[in-house]
Amino acid sequence: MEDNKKQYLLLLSEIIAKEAIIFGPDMAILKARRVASLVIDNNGNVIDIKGYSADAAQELVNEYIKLSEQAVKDVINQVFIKYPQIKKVNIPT
Amino acid sequence: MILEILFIVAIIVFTILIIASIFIYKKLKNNLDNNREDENKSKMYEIEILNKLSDKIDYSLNIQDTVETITSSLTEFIDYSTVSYMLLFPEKIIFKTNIKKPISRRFVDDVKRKMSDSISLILNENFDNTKVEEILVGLDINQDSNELIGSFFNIPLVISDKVIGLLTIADTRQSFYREEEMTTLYKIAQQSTQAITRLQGVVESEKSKLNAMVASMTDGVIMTDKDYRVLVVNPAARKAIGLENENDLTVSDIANNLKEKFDLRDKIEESVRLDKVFLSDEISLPSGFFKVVVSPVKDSRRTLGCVVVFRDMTREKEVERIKEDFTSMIVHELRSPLDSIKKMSEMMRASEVKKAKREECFQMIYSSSSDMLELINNLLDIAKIEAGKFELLKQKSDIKKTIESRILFFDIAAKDAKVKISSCFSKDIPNDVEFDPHTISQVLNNLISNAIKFTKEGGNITVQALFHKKGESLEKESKDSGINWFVKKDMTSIPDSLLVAVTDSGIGIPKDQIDKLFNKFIQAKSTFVEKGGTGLGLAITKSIIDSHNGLVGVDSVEGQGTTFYFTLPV
Repeated sequence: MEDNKKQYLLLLSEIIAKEAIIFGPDMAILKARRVASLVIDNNGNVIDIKGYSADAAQELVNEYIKLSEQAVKDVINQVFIKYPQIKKVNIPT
Repeated sequence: MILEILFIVAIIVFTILIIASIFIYKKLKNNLDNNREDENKSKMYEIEILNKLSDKIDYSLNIQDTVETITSSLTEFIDYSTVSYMLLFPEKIIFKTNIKKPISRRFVDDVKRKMSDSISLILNENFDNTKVEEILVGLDINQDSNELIGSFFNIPLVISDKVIGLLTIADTRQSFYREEEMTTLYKIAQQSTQAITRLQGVVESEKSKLNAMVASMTDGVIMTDKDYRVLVVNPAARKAIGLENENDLTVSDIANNLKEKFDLRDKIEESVRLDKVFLSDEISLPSGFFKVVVSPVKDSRRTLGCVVVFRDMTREKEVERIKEDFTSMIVHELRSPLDSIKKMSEMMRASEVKKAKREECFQMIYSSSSDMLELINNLLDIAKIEAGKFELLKQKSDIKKTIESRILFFDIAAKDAKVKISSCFSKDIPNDVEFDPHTISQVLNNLISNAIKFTKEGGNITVQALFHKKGESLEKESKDSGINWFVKKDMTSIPDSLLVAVTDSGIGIPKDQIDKLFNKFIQAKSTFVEKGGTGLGLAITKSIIDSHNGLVGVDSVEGQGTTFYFTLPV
């Protein structure tokens, strides 16, 4: 598995974990499962990405932004800071 | 035979297929109906609760009221063990839980912890548990229950782009909530908070207009709520009480700064309690003189707070002082010649006065009464100007003749003062300019008599005139005409005019006194006072020239001399 994808798996799993605290695990995982290219286990860990990782990341963030932009954007930004080698997705400012 | 068997088998298979199709069709239809029913149920609930909220929001911008409306109607839509909300206020955090099913204390604590974790993460700050005010409603806590949270979801409450709280629905059952149910509640929460945000935007916009108005007021304004918390302090109030750079002012801060001058706290309390407007006497503060008005603020039903207005009386006080000074000066100016007349009369009556001395007495009585008459005439002119009854009789006149006539009139006085008086005119002066020769003579009288008064022995006074063309440099015009004066102002923009100037080689006027010269109530200090005079002459001069739509001014160099000038439009 390429290094970049590994990073994406960690990043997306971390985003889901943070959103599980914000919205509750049921909602966070249900919304993550709406992203067809993500394979997610029952604990909210992303175990595979089928397709472009960057697109999957953008779709996942969009799902949470739709729920509550103000509640999630700072948290997502902070997660991205931890993964400098991954291009940040578009988050409304 | 084989064919028959095959036919029978085919019929059986066909029959089975038809039965299976009917069964599958019915099952699918049932599922579809159930889904539609669920969808309709969600939609109906959404419409119903939004209607309820819109009714509420018409009357209240209170987020707590809105959340209460959502939580109180949740049972119609979704099953739960508890519905809770947490709202963040500056002074406290409200945590309220409605318990619908028997749950333990631990369940409530877990809900509270999950909510505080969520808020801490969203706001990226530690959660202050000491500020939490807990309210439990619905069923009592069940001490025997061991039930834990099986599933829950949080809905952040956002007003004006700020997360101000959280709504949490929890149940003991695992993975109990469907995505559609949760999404519907998110939608409802979003729509209702957006409605509040919009209304708050309107209120904020109106509030900022009001604040801008209050901020720009020249009177100081302080507003408090009914608990005496300061809501508004405008810049004029800060200046009045000497707290221009302090933030978050309290009534105590303001009262302390006013000290014994004015008991603000007492007056605010009295005003609110007795529902009465209080007006103070004039109080002296470091920034000036003020009258303080304390008034209760009410709507149709109740008292909302109090407004304190600091009315700046400094200007009025200054005007009052100037008027008093003016009255004293006029009284003095009248008393001096009256005193002389009285003394001369007594002297003439009391003893044998030689004929020569008698003539001198008559001359002094004449001179003193002339001074008094001049003063009275000036006062009458000022009164006419003030009343708008000062009339001009304009006619085509020759300014040169008017000037020459005035120089002749002052010839003796100039000789007495040992100063030389002369005139100087440019060649292109028209001799039929329309002005009132009587009042322009009065102007020249004032300017020439002042020049004689302030020019030392051996000095010169020149009355000069030139024709100024719009756009031309006055300096060049005067140079071309051989005129020498102290006028340095840029007059290129003034229309075609006659410019008349009286220039002396006197002591000059300090720059800080020049602005006061044409004010009827403020006499320029120093030498003006020493030399006597009311200063009314220059005020009358200004009014006469204003009435001619001309300009009047003065330029001076201390120790070298002064030029008073005026223009008459051609």
